[in-house]
Amino acid sequence: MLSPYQHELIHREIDGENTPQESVDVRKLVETQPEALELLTSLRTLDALFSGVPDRTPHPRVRQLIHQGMSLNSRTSPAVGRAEGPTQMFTRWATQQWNGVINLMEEVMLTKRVLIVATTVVAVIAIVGQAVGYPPSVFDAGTIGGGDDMKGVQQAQRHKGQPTTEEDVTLSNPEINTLLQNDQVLKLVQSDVFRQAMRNESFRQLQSSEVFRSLLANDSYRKLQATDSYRQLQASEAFRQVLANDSYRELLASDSYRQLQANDSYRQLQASEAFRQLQANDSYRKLLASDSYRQLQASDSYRQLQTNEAFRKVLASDAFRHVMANDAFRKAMSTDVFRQMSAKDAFRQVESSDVFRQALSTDVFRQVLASDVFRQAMASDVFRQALASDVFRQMMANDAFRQMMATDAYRQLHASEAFRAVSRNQLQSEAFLNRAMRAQQ
Amino acid sequence: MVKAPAANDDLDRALVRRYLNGERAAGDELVNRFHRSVFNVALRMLGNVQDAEDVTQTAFGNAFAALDSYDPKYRFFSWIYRMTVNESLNTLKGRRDVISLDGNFDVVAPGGASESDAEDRVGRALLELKPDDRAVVVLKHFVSFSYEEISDVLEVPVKTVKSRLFTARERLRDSLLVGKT
Repeated sequence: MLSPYQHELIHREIDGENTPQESVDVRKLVETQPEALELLTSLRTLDALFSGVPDRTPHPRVRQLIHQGMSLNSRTSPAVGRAEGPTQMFTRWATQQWNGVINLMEEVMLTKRVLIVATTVVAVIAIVGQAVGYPPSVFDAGTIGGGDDMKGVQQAQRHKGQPTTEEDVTLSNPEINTLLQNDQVLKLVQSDVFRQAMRNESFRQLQSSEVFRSLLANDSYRKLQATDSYRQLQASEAFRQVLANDSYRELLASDSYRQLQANDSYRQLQASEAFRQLQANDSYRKLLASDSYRQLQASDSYRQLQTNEAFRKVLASDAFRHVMANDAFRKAMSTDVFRQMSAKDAFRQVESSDVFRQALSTDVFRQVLASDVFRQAMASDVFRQALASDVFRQMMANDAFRQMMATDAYRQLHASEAFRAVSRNQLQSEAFLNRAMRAQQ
Repeated sequence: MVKAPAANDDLDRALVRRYLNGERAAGDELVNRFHRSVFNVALRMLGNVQDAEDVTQTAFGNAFAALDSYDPKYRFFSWIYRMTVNESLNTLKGRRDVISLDGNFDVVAPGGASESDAEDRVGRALLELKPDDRAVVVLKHFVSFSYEEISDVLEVPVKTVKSRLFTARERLRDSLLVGKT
């Protein structure tokens, strides 16, 4: 049995780290101990195996791109600077820009990764769009209970056999009375959109589902709701327009979207630090908001990219360069999820819409996306389950519900602590809705 | 095996100084001296040509962007390899966040011949190692660095270098040589 020291001695012999005397000791050791000989032999074999691995030469463009990167950041010597006039400097600068574009174009054509640059940039928007649009909808949707005006009452009757009655609940919960004494809330529950939303079967099912009850109790969700940026987002016109966008609704209702929401990799991506950094990146946001990028999105086929003027403009833009140099972007786009998503027609329809673009360019969207609480909410199991549920998907297709969500009164109701307290308990929630229905009459 | 550029600290320092003084050609020479070995280190760390190319570019980009802060009392090659290894580890971390390493092994250079059987086997065995252990093995066996040089690059004690190297090699023996010696 070799001692640890003898082990190390043999390893060091292979690495050429032994003194002459230590090498002598190793030779003696292997002559007397078969185990030492076996170790030395195997390590030499291993070393030979490594030595047999050929040195690889990187593609010439790698060195070229490094040199170009140096050009963009190079420190011009004072002598050179003085020798060049403005025209020469501009010409040199323009040449560098053009070379940069050409090389990026070559990248697009030559490497499988960058071939999907345009695709993945588009997919980034799609992901951001989903991340922005859908979760707030969940937050908005998950807090009102009940069913339609009759079913809400019937559902409450299921609890009649329980010791606690609706009246007990109402009396013992001042929050319900507080809510119904609020003019805005009263106006909301008396409105047509509220009544229509209550008639929606999916809404009723959603309210009674365990997953939404869990969501309401989720800390990340609550923290997100408490942030100013999230409240501003909810109140923004851009956000309302996105929610009302037909393509967006189609996307939300699609099976592919639902599958995506259930995809672990997608979830991990959304929760990753790299993704958060990307969303917080100014250059990225500018790129998304640029006209040339929008034109690119509208192009029929990526085969036409190479001759597409809009694409050239994007490639030539500083924003694009900055995005491409962004580590978070490169990490995010290296996932299969992006590639899978880019094939979804519904995504492309959404991302090319004006309202969506406007929404993405707002500061408040960016703040929400970049916030830790948003990321934590997106990473929570209960949140993911809610997104993937049938009832929620069906509910989101309901016009009345979406109209209700867009009202100021609903936002106020939703933001109130009393309403949240009521919504956490099914019995209280149903009692509130029953009282609300009676108030409508 | 990767042939690291001949150690010439004085030359490297002089090139850095000239580059910082505005001599673009000096920067080109630094790139020419190290880009191939940097690429191969990244390739062995990542097992993927495109990722390795990305890391190579990023490492040099970071190095030149931060060259002002380079302290000449340290070796330039330690600096550039440290950036390469760190960038490779970052890439691996990002990859682990979203996808598995399985099936991600791809060492065929663009337009190059298929990898040899030895390269394939060694590459796969390397990817089974923990990234920190892999870095030590790569610097030892593919760049022929001494324990001390590896210690400089990775900024860990020599004792740690040896521990990681010996442990990793035991694992590599098991995965590569069982029944073959």
